[in-house]
This record gives sequence, structure tokens and C-alpha cells, in this order.
Amino acid sequence: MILRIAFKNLLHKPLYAVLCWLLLACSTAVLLLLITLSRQAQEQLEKQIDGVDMVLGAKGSPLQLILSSVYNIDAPTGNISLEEAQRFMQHPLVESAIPISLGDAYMGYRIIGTTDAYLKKYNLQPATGKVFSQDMEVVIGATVAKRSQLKVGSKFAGTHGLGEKGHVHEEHNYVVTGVLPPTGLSVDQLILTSLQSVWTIHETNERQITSVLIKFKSPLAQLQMPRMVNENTNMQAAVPAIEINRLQSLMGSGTAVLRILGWLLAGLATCSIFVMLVQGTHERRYELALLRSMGWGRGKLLSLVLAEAGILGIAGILGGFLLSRLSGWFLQQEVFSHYHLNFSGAWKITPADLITAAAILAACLLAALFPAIRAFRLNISKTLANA
Amino acid sequence: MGIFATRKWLNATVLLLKKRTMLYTRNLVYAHPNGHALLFPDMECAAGDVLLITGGSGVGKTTLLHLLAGLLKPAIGEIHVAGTAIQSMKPAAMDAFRGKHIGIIYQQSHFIASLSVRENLLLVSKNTRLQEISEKLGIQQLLHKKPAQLSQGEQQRASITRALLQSPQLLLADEPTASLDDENCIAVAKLLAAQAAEQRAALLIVTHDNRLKQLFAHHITLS
Repeated sequence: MILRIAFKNLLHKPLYAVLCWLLLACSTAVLLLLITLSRQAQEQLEKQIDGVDMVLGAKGSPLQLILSSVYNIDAPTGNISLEEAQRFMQHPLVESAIPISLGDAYMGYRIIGTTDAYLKKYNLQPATGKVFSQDMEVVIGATVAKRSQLKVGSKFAGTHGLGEKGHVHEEHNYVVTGVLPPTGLSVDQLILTSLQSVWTIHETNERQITSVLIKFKSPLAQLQMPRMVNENTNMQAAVPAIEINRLQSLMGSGTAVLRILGWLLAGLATCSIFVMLVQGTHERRYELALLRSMGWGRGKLLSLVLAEAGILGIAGILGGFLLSRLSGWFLQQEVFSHYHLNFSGAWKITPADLITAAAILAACLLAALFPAIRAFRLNISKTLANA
Repeated sequence: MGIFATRKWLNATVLLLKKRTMLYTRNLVYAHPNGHALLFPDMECAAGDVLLITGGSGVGKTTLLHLLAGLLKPAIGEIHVAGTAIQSMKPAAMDAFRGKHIGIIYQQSHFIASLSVRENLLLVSKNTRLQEISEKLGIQQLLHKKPAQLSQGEQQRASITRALLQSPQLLLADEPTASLDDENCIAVAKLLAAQAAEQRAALLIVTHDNRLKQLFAHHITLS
């Protein structure tokens, strides 16, 4: 009965209720979306650098080198000589080294010259077809296959550069030999081929590569080798863990600002609930007095006002949850295509989501406490006498 | 043995008689917060009877009604409703007692604006007698409406229905005919008395409406 009256009271003044609900839903959505995006971005960033202790490449920004070689986002810093790189690739402290050569793309999807070690890093086998073994053979990621309609046996020519437009290498056609299963990683949007294919297309005698993804045998090497490379060669050694930490701290300050904005919105929402309930209990003081005179106890009146705030709070949280997940879904399209991140697990409810929801609900009930106590302490005789 | 049996019979008879008395007050004084004390005459009203309390403005008619309903506490004196002394009841117990035994009809009909008339009537009682009583009071066609959609007379009848639905043993009416014309005044007063009698409830009407004096024999004038 209390819940029913509380619900009907909210519907009786829909404008106030909808305004409070909207504010609550928006603030909850901002906070939950931030939690989801931070969690997913962290998971994705960590998943991609798994098994890469150092990236060897041309001098320039270390973050740019990591982003271009590991996450396939940014432009590469330049090329290095394979011969020079091999000195470190064959170093006794190195467990595995995966060379990468960038230069071309197809419909905006990067064509990467590498070895089958790249697939082994992700434990990948083509879902259909086989791994490239000859020059000009490629395996394509699941997203590439889906969006470009390429399949095993399809032929295509790459475009020079990493964009969608540029000189088309029409004289050299690639053949698709395999299609990889979806992974949720950036490899879904890559076209992988042999290093020799890249060199053949660019008709160069100098064997150059873009970077090498290196895994060490022991953590000790992580301390020695980057310094060795950076001090004694023309190349650059970047450590993904350090660069990603730097990136996360840069992103963290932006996230903190948005989080403050979210809590400010939540504060505004609870203030509006407070005002609505204070005004509501004043306007409905005769109704409250009537309920007391018909036998309702003080506790019931207190519960009635709290129930109104509780219903608004729960509706706001549910609306905010849906809004955050829908915005996440729309953002996913944008984020996934530009930053090669996958937010497919975003519907999952985490303890952080529950804590945020509980904090918002508690704030709503706290906002209702003063009007609820006013209802509790209502002087029914005086109120009814003044009616 | 004979003496004991006679005493037992006498005690039972007294209890039975007391049971029939739904309301009685003794030495009732209310201390107003502004310092004035209001003294009320002793009163008694049995089940099915009507007691009219009249008096001019400011003599304490509404205060008396609130004292009898347990909404106010007397400074001294006793109030017994359906055999229970209510003057020293704790607020929670008084709320529960009022919900069970006392029905109140206000001069100004109060309703929960967001609920329909039906929902308002069923706030503190079950559905079992709604059909019967709403038909008797001629409001069965209005049950689905919101209180604000009813005329003043309809609101008054709905208010009476709500009080009767509680099956009270004491029915308190505060100026129930104040805003009614002569015809409706008599109709509402007769309806109230008939319903109270049917439910074996004591009816106490607090009013300054002298038209009611001709209808009810028992009345006390406050001064």
C-alpha cells in the first residue's frame, strides 16, 4: 500500500518526478559509463601487451612506437634495418622476437608483414583456410573479413600508406589463404602477410622493418636491454608497461574530471529530490494528517516519504544503467573502429557498479530524510484544524 | 453462595451496560499551548445513539473532537472509547486504536489527491462492504474518479462512506453540514444517524449548525 501511494504521488506531479528522474539517470549513466569504459580499456590494454616486454623500433616517441606496433593505432615512428634489429632478436636474453613491417593498407585495414610467430603470440589459427606460407599470401582478421567481404581465395591490391586512399599497388595482388576467428583484439582488424611480401611490393633491396615485439627470458633483461639499445644504437627500445602506465595516468586525469562531473550531477539530482519532497510534504500535509487520523502510524508516514525517494532512486539507477550501456554500445562502434578496443563485455554488472548504485540510492534516501522526519513529526490536530 | 452469585450477576450486568456505552468522559480539561485551559462537560453516548455538541466559534468544539479522537491529549480527565481509556495511550497504540475503533468525518473533506475515490475509501479498510455502503450513499458511480472531480456534496458523502467502512464504534463528525443547504443538511444528518445506528456506533456531531438541534434530542452546548 505504501509503495502504491508513493508511486501514485510521484505520478500525480509528473513534471517534478520526470525532472528528478532525468537528472538521476544522467548522473548514474555518466558514472557507470566511466566505470565500464575504464575497466574495459584497462582490460583491453593489458590483454594486448601480454607477452611483449619491449618494442624495438625507430627513434621517436616511445608511446607512439607502442601504439603503432602493439595496438595498431598511431603512425609508426619510422623503419629500422632488419640486420641491425637481428642483433637483439637473437640475443641470448630474448625468448621470442616478432618482426613487424607496416606500409600498406586495404580499405583502411593495416597490412602487416610479420612471421607466423605473431599468430602464435595470440594462440591463433585460421578459422577457415590456412596460415600464409608463400609470398603475397595473407590471413585476414574476423572484422576485415566481415566488412570487406574477402574470403579464402579472394584477391586484392593494397593501398600505399595506412589510410583508405593512396597509390594502389595494382601490379601485386594478395591472395587470402585464411580467415582468423574473432578475438576482440586489434588483430581482428589486421591483414597479416610475410615480411617478404611487403618488401616485394615496395621493390626494395634494403630489408627494413618497422619494429620488433620482444619477450625476454628473465625480468633482468628488461632492466638492461632497453638501456643498451637506447644508448648504443640508432634504434629505440620502448617498454609497453611503462608507456601504458603513462597513458593511463594521462587518461586518468580526464576520467577524474568526468567522475567529478558525474557526482556533481548526482548531487544536483538529490537536491532536486529534496526540494520536491519538502514541497510535496508541505502541500500534502493535510493528506498526511488525514492518514494519521485514520490510524496510520508515524512510521508509515516516514516510510511513505522515503518510499517516494526510493522509487525515484531505483528508477533513476535503472534508467542510468540502461543509458550507460546504450551509450557504451554506441561508443563501442566508434571506439572499436578507431582504437581497436572491444567493449563486448560491457553489460556485465561489476561490484563497482553496485557500489555506485548503492551510493546514489543512499543519497536519495538521505535527501528524503528531512521531509520524512517532518512528516513523522507532523502535528495532526493543528494541521487538520487549520485546513 | 447466593450472595456471591448475585454479585457476579450484578458485575456482569454493569459490564454489559458499560460495554454499550461507546463514549464517556469525566472531568476533561485541555491545556491550550497559549496558556488557556478548556473545561469540557462530562458526556456519555451509547451504541446507536447520537450526541450533538454545539457552541459558537472558539469554544473548543474541534479541540473536543480531537481529544475524543486521541489526536490531542487532555491535561486531566478521562476519555473512554468502547470501554478503553485512551487518554494515556502511547501515540503508536493510539494510532492503531483510532484506525480500528474511531471514524472521523471532517468539515473539509480530505482525500489523497493522487488516488481514486475507491483507493481512498479502501485505505484503511477491506473491500467487503464497499459496494453495499457506497450504494447506500449513492456514490458507486463515482468510485473511479479522482477526489478533485467530485462536487462538495459528493466529497462529503465519500468522506462518510470512508468513515463507515472502518466499522467504527465511535463516529465523530466535525461540522458535517456546515456548507449544505437545508434540504441536504437534513438528508446528510439523517443518513449519518441511520448508518451509525445500523452499525451500532455512537455518533458524536460537533457543530454550530442550529438546524441540527431539531433533529437530535441529546445535545450539549459548549460555552
